[in-house]
Amino acid sequence: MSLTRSAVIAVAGSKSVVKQTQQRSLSWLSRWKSSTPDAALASSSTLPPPQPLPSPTSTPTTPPPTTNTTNQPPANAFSTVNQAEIDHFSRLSSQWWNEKGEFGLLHKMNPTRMEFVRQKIAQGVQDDEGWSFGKRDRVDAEGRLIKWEGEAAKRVQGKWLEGMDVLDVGCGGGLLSESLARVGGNVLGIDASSHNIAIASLHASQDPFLPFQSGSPLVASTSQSTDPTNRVGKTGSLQYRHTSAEELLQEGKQYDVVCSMEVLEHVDSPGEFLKCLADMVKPGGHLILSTISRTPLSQLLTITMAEHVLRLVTPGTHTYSKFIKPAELLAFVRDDLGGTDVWEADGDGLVDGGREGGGVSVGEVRGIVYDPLSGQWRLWKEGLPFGDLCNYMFHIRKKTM
Amino acid sequence: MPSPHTATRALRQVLATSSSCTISAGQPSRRAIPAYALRGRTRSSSAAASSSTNARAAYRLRRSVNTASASSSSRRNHSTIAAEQPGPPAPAPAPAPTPIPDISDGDTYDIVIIGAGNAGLALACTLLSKPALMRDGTRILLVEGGSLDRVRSWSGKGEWENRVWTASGPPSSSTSQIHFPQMGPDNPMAYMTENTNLQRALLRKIEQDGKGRIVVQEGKKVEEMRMGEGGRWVGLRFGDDWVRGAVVVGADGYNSPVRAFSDISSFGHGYDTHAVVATLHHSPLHNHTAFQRFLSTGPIAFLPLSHDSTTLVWSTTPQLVAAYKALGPEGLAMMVNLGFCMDEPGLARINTHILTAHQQGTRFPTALLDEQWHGLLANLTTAQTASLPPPITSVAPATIASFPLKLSHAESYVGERTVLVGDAAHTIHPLAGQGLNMGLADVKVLGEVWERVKLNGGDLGAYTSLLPYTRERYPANHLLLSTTDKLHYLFGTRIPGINWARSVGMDVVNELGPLKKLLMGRVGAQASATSIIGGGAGGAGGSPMRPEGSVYEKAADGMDALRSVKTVAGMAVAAGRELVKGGARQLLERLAK
Repeated sequence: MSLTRSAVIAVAGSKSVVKQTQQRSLSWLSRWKSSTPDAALASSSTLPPPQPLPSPTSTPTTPPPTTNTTNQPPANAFSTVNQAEIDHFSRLSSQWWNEKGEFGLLHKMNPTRMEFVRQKIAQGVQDDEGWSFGKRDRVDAEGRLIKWEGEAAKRVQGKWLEGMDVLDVGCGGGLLSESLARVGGNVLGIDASSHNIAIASLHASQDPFLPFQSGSPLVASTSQSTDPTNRVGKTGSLQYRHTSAEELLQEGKQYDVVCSMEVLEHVDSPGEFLKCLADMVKPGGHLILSTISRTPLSQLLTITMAEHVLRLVTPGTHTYSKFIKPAELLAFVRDDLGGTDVWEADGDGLVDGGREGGGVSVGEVRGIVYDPLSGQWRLWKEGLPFGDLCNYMFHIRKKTM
Repeated sequence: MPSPHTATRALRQVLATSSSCTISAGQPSRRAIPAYALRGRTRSSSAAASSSTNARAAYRLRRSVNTASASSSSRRNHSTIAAEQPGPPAPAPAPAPTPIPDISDGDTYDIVIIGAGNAGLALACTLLSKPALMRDGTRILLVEGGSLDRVRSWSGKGEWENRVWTASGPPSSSTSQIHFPQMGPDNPMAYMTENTNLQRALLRKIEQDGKGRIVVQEGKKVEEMRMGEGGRWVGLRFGDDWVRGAVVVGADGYNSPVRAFSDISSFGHGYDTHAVVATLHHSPLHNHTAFQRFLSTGPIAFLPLSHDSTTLVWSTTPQLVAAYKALGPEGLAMMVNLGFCMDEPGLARINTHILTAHQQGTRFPTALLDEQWHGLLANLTTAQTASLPPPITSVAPATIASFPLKLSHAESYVGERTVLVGDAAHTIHPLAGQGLNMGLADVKVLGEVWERVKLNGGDLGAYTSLLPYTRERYPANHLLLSTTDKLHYLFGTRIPGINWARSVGMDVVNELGPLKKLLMGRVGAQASATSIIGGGAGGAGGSPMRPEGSVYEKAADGMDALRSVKTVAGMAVAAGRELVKGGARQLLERLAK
């Protein structure tokens, strides 16, 4: 692909150009685009997203009167936000924190996603201090052994995101953002739905254990616990903003960790969206995604079963054609995001036996599988086949340059 | 004169007393074993819980329960209070309660544990050993309604305490016996320990290693609990002071105020059985064998403490318990002797006489019991005496106590930002000696679950975070509760057919080495206790309760695995059925269209 990321930004507003270019060079990408509805980051209600093949769920519903009244982006800004998706999730926003309701499965998924993030971050931390005689194990006054622990050892316990800037794109009700903040990260959660941001802010503000910083006018301060200095959590911070990834990118800030969970399958032109995320990753930083693959199994589980049979999720939440295969993601990283010039070649790059993404050597794809018997999501064992047929996690790390 | 097989009907279990048991208790306690010091209704949802069930919505925002003492060691107190209190006013037109005042950081805790009994102390201890929980200043408050001074100052001197915990083996029938041989000096089947001894060890560890991390507050009764705005924390009021916690642990015993607040009811039933406990004395011997005989009225158990002291736990009808206690120490000692070796018809005759005397308000003459006992003794062969406990010479008067037995199980262990452990979640018949072990296993699992939650940035009090705890402990506890319940009735019955089947079963078990090993290994739920007080240089005498990795434990693991396979299969079938049902419904809907 010849389009550079800056070009993408420059042509903001002329999406069709971008789209056509991509369609020419990557047929799978066109599939991403020809689909329609669900949710993610939104900012622009004024700019209709490209929807060449509107599906029933994507036909414009009555425009939500309250959405996007704040932080409205410039009318001509490019956006991957899909308004129909935003409407869908805005309607569900009050459900975000009902652990036994619509998002129950997502609540259960959260610890497992965090586990993946932790594995990746902990792995990424070098024991740069090194052992020395001054730091060796010692015995304290009461005769107890104090074991020496390097930075890496500390990272795998407790506040392993301490001191890191973390961006959660498409934070929804803040499920992931709150967890990221609890382990010490300086977290910014953004979402295209102002409803979601309102819910997330309200929820965080009521928790005395979160380092929440209320910057949003949407949240009326409650009698206690909105004052950031009155927080029990001593490290880290948590902020929410109603904005889109594209808008945020223009501010120029980069982050140590950029997360976007279960968002990719809800945006228009995922390619642009990914480029935008990739740009916001600091050198040496991590990009971590979770999404759903496009396979018969995923259609069966996430749409047929979850939406229509078991009614765990509101029908219309997922759109099959917007699902993205791991191989496509890897190929995109290789071809459009700079490949190994930009990203660490730390993955084995073999997805699905190497059939489709063969030769890609960046990034890691891990299946994440719901085990109904234990009621928990599990990270599929590394290297085992078939784990990525439905939900999967994806991680790439930027080179330090 | 008992026939040879009736004379040897006592179950013989080989136990080795732990080193911690060779010291004796400081103060003879007249208290009953707390788990069973229960009063109140069978259906244990207290008035507080039931009155608020029909106002779920209101309860979400403002539930205030006039909770009784939050203590577990003073469980007797609040069991009475909780049962007799009318509970909170019906919440319908609840007068707007005064708002919770602002609660400072200093009074904000991640975890508030109500009740510093065995479960509460053990939980605090196990949390101390979790690196992710402890490294980042997780704040824990341990609240006890009574005073911990008695525990703290326990010196191990003086009379043995009657509150003794055991990891004992499975029971036997009244017509046959199982002999569980000792597995060698280092591999005993179970340990006995005094309640206060265990608690002191735990408390000492907490006070030494938990400085600045675990705050222990004594003599504080929870007077009110209320959900904070938005449901992100629970406020607790002690007098005029409020504290709050992200999660509140109910380690507050059978009549758990935390359970009442959580609106969790429990089910179960009383047994119409009371247990009498006392410390027995006998001539010094190598006292490492526990005995339990299953009488038609309930089991009588002999649990060794030291070379010349033993704990008695005798479960029988409430009337008999009262009559036995009225016999006085000398009479009770004789009755215990008879209880272990007399045949059942003979015992029944004596019981009738004792009951009659008790009802008439006269004291049954000890001399008569004495006579019976010596008559029996003269006729016992050496082989028979070898399978009986040693003759009891005296009973420590201050240790005689009794309490009613109950089975109860909470419908859920997890409420809104609350979680139940130990007796607050379940109470069990003491015949298998599993009450303590179940509580310790709860606590161990909860600690592990929270460590994982903390590591992944979860909310300690969230329903999803606590789900794995319930998933792991609920079925395990339920199995044990129901098995013990069945055993109580199985061994209590004297219907001929069942009797025969039972004794044949017992004989088979006794002959089958592997099965017996399994049964003994089952006691290994106790391995849980190892990591709670073991390890840590500051730990006070917390020796592991059971060596790890023995054959028996592996066998028990195998059993567990089998059971989980069964459970999984059951769930798979249920899930399949659901699917088919859902599919059919869908199909019908489509067709209808």
